[in-house]
Amino acid sequence: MLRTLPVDEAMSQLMGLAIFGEKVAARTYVLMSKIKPQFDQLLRKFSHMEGQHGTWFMDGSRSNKIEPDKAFADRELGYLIDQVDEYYKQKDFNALAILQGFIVESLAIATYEPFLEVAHKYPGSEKAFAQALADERYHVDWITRYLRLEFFESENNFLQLAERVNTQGVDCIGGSMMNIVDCLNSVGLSGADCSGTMVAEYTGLLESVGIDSESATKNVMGIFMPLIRKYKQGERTK
Amino acid sequence: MSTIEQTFWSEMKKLEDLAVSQYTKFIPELNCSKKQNFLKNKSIASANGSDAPLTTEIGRLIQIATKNSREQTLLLQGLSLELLGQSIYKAVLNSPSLSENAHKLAEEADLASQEVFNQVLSILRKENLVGDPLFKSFISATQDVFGQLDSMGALIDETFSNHSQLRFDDVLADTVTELLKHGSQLGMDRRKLLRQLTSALMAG
Repeated sequence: MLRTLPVDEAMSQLMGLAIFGEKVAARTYVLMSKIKPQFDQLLRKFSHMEGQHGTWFMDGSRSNKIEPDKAFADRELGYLIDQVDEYYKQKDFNALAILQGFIVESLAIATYEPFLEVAHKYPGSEKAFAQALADERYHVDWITRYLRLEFFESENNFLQLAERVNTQGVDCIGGSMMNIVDCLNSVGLSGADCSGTMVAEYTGLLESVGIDSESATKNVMGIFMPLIRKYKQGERTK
Repeated sequence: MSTIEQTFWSEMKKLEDLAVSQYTKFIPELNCSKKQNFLKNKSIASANGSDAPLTTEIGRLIQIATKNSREQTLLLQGLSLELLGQSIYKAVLNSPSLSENAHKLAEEADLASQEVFNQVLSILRKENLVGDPLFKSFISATQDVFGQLDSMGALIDETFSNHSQLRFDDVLADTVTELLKHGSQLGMDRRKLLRQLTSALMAG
């Protein structure tokens, strides 16, 4: 069962999500910097980098005559923005670190990396996606170091936090992944492999902070399974 | 046993029968006495509930899971479906709403499955089927079955979830977790395996 859609439409949706998703990421890092001013300089730098990705992707879309699908992006990102706003209201920096720094970045890494294989079809996009991928890994690296220190010798508290954030966060971002599977298939990638990479990437990050692999896998897969089922039944997740 | 429990054991018996028939054909040493005794249990032998759509899906699964080689039987039936069975039996044991008889049967089936599974691990190590070669063979033996398993989830939940705490998504998440644990102990790359299992569940 390999569902596809016209390549132009698929690229519009993918670029829409990438461009506007990067803008949401830029905003989230700014909000995080306001909660912990001691990291202001670094998190604003992250925000600037995310903003730049959005600009590069927009330029790449224009030069390849791709119209980013904003309506699609808004539909996907609304649920994420609600969560970000709620955590910001509660001044919950750690929840934002997991949501943005781990879950959202895992989606970006799981799609940007394989996209490099087909990027040559869209002149100018290869460099932009390669640099964005390297930057996202840099952000993940800092978030990992921060969380490891924050939850040093209190891994159970981290597990509780991750489980709390995952319920909505994985449902939301994993749901977006399911909603772009057909787009990824349409541009010559395997949406199923990208989804598998996202699960493996995120689970690995939770483990790197100290959650044992069994708990991490069971929790993440438990949330992903209903999303996979919805995808297979042809339902949208949002 | 209630009608729903009859249906459950009737379908599980078909899967256990498949295991026994595949082991008999390709790996007779896996036909352990515990599994044979479990299938001879009166409650199992006489379970005759049926649910037409579920029976059709189980029939399809049995068709896909019937393999024609020793290696594929070892990796699909012995390594993967035994772990799936154990996850299902654990879920039954954790469902207080099911009968005492169902709990006893699940315990017996779980023990039998564990015995087979431990032998499978020992065969794989003895034959040095580990690491990357194991990963490649594992994909080829299991890919199509995982896709079919996920497709059955909604139907299984529809049939059983009102009567027990059995939720197929949790069962599959548990199976994947156990497969990762044992797979990495057998030298498979954990990240590659998780990626493969998720991808396979989405196919089909």
